[in-house]
Amino acid sequence: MPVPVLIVDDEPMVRFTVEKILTQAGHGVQCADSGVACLEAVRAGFRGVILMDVMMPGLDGWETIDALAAEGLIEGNVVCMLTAVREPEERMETVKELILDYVRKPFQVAELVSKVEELGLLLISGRE
Amino acid sequence: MQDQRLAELEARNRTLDKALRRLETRNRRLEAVVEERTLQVDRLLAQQSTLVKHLGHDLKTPLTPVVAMLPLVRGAVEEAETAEMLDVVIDSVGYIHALVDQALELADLPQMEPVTEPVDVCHLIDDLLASHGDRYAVENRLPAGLAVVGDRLMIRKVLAHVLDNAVGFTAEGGSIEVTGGESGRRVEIVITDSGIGMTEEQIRRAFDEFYKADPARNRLGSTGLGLTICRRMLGNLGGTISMASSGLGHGTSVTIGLPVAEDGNGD
Repeated sequence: MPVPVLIVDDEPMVRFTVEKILTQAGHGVQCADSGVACLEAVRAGFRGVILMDVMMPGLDGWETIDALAAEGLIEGNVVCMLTAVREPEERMETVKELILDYVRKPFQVAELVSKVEELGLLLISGRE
Repeated sequence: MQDQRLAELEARNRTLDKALRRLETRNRRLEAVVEERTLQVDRLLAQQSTLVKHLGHDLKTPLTPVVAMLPLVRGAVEEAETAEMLDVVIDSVGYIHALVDQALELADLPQMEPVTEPVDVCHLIDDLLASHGDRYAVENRLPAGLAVVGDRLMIRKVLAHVLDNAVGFTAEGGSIEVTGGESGRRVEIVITDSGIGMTEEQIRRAFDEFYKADPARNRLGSTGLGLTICRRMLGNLGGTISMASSGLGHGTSVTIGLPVAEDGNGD
């Protein structure tokens, strides 16, 4: 079953990679190049799996999640961090109820696809 | 006579008082120097942590499309020579990925704050051995419920790496046995394989950074940092690691020591 995915990452090569992999696997992918673009997409109605980069200029991944939560926009979405760094535990503690999982960069195709499909199932079960 | 004696004592007292004040002044100056040096060290560690974080991001981000999409490209190639070239490139990228991961992990270790919790190592070993049972005679002879105190993720990494080495240097059909138990306030875990064994030189250098026991072997993905990381992680947990072998062809034993969990049950 196709899963709607929003990839939020300031790096064009990462957005291209994720879009290519997930589209080939049959899922629908939207791209956002910043935290602000992510907020705009979700306000415009995106509901699905949000793959969120951590280190971005302007609003970073954590701040974007805080902003989504403040506007009540987490509901209907599942957030999965896409990260190349080991984050301090205290930062993750403040938002751990809002993040369901994380994928470390660089990732293998199978890992990304299975994670997205697993989270997609959670979305469906959350709606039922 | 008494007055003279009293005057002498008072003079000595004044001398001692002066010496004491000089010592106190010197002490205050030394404390100020120590405080300044401590702040400098803290600043340097913070700078190093930031550097490692940014370096990690900037190395791993461009690796993302390479690691993810090269296998896809390889899957679409049928021509044998091109496929062979891509296989070499994919192996190289795998090595670079492993090296970046481990080098950053090593650089980050001083800043990592281990979690202190009871960990059931018998259960962990069962998990880790499960994937090797088809190709090796594996046996976990640790007492059930044997528990240590430490960071679960770090301990799992260390045990996984040592087991990966045992597998990597043991021919299929060989044996890997895990024994151990409590010894005073410590737990010892001994992982013994029937593999190619080690020379005294190899054992002596095994924990050196970038040292590979057999550089002639084609083991791309072996960076020579794994055991260095294991020893430092264990050091952070109050643990130890050592190796022994009766020589080439006679297998290797790795002994890991960790503080015992007081109440015994790790899970």
